[in-house]
Amino acid sequence: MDAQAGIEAIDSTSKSSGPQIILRNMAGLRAQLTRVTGSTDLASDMLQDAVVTALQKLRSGEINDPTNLDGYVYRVALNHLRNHRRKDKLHAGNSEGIGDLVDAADSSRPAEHLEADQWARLAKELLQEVSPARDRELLVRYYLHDESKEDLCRVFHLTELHFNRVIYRARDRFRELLQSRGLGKSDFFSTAVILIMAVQTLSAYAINSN
Amino acid sequence: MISRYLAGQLPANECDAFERALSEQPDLRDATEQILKFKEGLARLHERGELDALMRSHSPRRWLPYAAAAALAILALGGLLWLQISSRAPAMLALSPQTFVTRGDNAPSILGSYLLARTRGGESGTEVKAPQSPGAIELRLLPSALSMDVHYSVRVNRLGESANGKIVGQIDAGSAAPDGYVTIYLDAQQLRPGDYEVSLAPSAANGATAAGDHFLIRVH
Repeated sequence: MDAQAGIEAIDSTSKSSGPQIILRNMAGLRAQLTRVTGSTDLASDMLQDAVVTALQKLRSGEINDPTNLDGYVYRVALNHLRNHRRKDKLHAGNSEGIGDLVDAADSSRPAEHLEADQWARLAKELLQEVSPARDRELLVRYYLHDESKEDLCRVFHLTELHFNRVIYRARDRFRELLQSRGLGKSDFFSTAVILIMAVQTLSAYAINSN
Repeated sequence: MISRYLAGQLPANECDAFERALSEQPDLRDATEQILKFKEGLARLHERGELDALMRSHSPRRWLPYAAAAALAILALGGLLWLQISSRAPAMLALSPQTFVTRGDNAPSILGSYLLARTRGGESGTEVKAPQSPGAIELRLLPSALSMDVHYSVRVNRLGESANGKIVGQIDAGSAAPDGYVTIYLDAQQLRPGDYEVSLAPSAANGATAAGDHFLIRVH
C-alpha cells in the first residue's frame, strides 16, 4: 500500500463493519471547502459525498485499483470545491468575497483552526521573506483573489517566465516551511470519522438495495 | 495548472485531464494540498486584517547576511594582504639610496662605494666593511660585455646557506650609465657579515642568453 495514499481501503469481507478507511492529507481541501461553504457541516457533507461516490465507483468496478480510491475521493471533493467557488463567484460578482466568508462554525473545530492558523503563520513568514513588495502583491492577487496569470503579467509588466519564477519560488518555500514545521502531511481523525460514517451509509444502502 | 483549475480558469477538456491526473498522481494531490493550505493561510491573514500591513511592509533584508559575509571576507582578505605587506622585508637592493629612507629620516648616507669588475686575477672577492649605522652601500658593476642597449638585472645571493645560496635581493637595474657602470645600492641595515655573490646579467626581457658576470663580496 502506498504510504502516501490518502485512503487505506481494506476490503475486509471478514469484518462486519465493511471497509475501513483512513483519509489523510486533505486538510487543505477540507479547510477550503469549509471556507467556501461557510459551514464545517456542509464541508463534511461534501467530503462524505465524495467518499460515497468513490466507493460506489469502486463497487461498480469503475475504479480498478483500490489504492487509487483516495485519489478519486480527492478528485470528487476538489471538484465540489471548484463548482462551489464558481457558483459563489457568479453570485458575488467578484472573488473578493471569498476571503470574507467567515466560517459559521468558527469555534466548533478548534483543532482545524489551529492548523489553519499555523498555515497563516507560515504564509505570513513567506510573505515577509518575499521581496519586492510587487511580488507579495502578485502572490496575494493570484492565490487569494484568483486573478489570472495573464492579467497579472499585464498589470505588473512581467513576462510569463518571470511570473512563473515568482510563483515557483513561493510554492517551493511554502513547501519547505510546511515540512520544517511538520505540516506537510495532515491526518484528521475527524475526516476518518466522516469516512467511517460514509462506509456505514453505503453499507446500509447496499443492504436496502438487496 | 493547479491554481488555474482552482480558480476555474481551465477549459473544460483541461479540467477533465487535470482531475484524471489528480486521482492517479499522489504528488499532484500533495502539490494541490500545499496550494490549498497557502490559500487558506492567506485567507486567514486577510480575515485578521494582517494582509494589508504585510503587503506594505518592507521585507527583511535577506541580502544583509550575504553582505555581512562579503564584508567579513573583504576585511579578512584586506587584513591578510596588510599582514603580508607589513611582514615583507624591505627591499635590500635599490637603484637609489633614497629608497632606504625611512619615514622622518633624512637621506641616508652612502657608507661606502665599491666597484665590481672582472679582473684577470680571478675571483678573490671584494672586502666590504660591515656598516655600523643605517645607510646605503653603493655598488658599481661593470659588465664584461658592455652594450648600452641592454637592460641588466642584478641579483644578490647570500652564500653558505644552501648549495646555490639564498637570494636576498634582485632588481632590474636598467641599462648601463654612459660611463659603462651599472649602479645599485644595498641597504646597509640588512647586510649581515658573510659572503655574497652579486650577479649581473642581461634581463630576461631582452631575450638575451649571454652569461652574466658574478662578483664575490665579503662582508666582515
